[in-house]
Amino acid sequence: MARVLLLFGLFVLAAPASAGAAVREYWVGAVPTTWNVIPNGHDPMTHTVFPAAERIAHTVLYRRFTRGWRSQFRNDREVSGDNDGIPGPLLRARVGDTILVHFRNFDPARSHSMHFHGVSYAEASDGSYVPGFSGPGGNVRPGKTFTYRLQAGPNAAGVWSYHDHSPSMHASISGGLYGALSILGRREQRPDREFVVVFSSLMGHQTINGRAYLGNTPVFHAKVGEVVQWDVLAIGEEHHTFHVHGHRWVGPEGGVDVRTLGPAESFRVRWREDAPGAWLYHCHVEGHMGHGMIGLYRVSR
Amino acid sequence: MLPVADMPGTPPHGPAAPAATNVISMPGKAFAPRDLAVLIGQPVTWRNDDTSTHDILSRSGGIESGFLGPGASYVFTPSVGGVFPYICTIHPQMQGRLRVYGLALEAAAAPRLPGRPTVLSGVAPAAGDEVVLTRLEAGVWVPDARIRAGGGGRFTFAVLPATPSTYRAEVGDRVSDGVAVRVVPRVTLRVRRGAKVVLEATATPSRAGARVRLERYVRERFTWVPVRAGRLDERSRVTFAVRTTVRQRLRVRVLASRGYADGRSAPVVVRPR
Repeated sequence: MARVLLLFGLFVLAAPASAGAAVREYWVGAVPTTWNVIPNGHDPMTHTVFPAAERIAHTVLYRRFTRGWRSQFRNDREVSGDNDGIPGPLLRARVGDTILVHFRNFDPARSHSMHFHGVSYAEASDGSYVPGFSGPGGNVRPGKTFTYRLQAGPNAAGVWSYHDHSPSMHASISGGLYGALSILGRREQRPDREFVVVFSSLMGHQTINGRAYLGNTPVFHAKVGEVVQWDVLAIGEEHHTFHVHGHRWVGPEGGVDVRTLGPAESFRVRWREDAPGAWLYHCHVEGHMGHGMIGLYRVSR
Repeated sequence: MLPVADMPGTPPHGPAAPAATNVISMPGKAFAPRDLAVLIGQPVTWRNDDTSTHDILSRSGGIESGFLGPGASYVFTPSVGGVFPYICTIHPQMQGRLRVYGLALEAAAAPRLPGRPTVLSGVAPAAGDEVVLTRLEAGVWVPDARIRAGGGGRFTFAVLPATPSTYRAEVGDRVSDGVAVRVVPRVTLRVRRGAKVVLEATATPSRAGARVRLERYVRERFTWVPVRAGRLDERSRVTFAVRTTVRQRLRVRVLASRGYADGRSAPVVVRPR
């Protein structure tokens, strides 16, 4: 009897500490892409027209693939507007999960990597290039692959950025090679709508998800009564101040409707939608808003 | 064809510059202007107005300044025509372009509306030079208008050809590059209400065979989005049957081809019955 109890005890200890924890796998590639920052060609607020040379970039972006990189598919239309490349695929998990990100570098010219914020990893999966210390994960050469093994620990709930951290990171990040991780608490309910907003810049324009100016930036939709979650991130050189018209949320000191974030900072905000209308969302740094960092949020009854 | 007398004191629309002002400044890590057109024999001065050292080097054409400290200048007088891109070798993202012509002729921004003349502007070697504008007709250059160059050798012509045409300017034995002038067709749009609502678009002059797009205005995209494709028939006409279940703002665009620019109709609103 004691032996049975001992074996049973050993079995319980050996079982995964987090019941319900999953292993999530993603296949991601760094792919050379032609990207149009202003697909409509103009800013409807000022009627400024932009020639092609000022808005079309040849760059490298993270894109999502099926298992084994067999075929490419759209990153995440539902959460990032119709942007298909910036940000990279939204990687989802829950606290306690193991996340395997299989990365392949399709750029024939330069190395790239993936470095993740918010999650835990052994040094080999850090994804940054440190001469003399880092291994292949920080410098994935053209045509090569690497699997990053990540753990969503107890403090991982939230939204985090991931980005290139290889020797070419400066040029890559300014070209759009970044994405987001969205991690829910173990038992946290998913929102009805999730919107990813990444503030950065590209080709001299201030961008939201790689696009600039109303009509080009993502248009988000929701219905009154739905729980919406905004995942807001900033990448690059500058600080931004996120603001949504017609809405406010609760911060550490009470009501908030503008929140600052600096490079690589991120936060998520949730509310139950109660305000029908066509609302602007934008960075409140006046020069940024005027150079493209503004979008539309439509709430229907 | 409407010859227009040169207007002294009004710079030509194109970047071609009169002799006195061929100065390119470097106010920072850039060239201003980035693109300059001059004539053979007109000196160009680059001036370093920055606090860093710069230089100017072109792969062809012989523009080579050596290092220029803050405040220094470099003068280059072109002796051959051509297009010469140049860079600062210290800051290679600083790029500029010098265009050198025997005789300069350029079209100002192409008109977007039908019936508006295109302004051709240029620079002749000297004020008072007689400039002849010629048009290519069946392989032969035919005189179209004449004018005397104004101050700094500047001149302008306003042209409104009925069909796509190429023009060039002549001064003595100097001849400019040819400039193609496009024609913007006029597109009219009629709504015919019957069992179905039909939009009928016609383009003038005839653009029989041209491709056409029916576009709808999408409010939240702040832009027109193509929704249907078609082609103009031999009478330069096309029809589209449209839904009447929702309110739509629509227009027709005849796509540019064969020397004609895009032509757009005025928008119409189709309301549910």
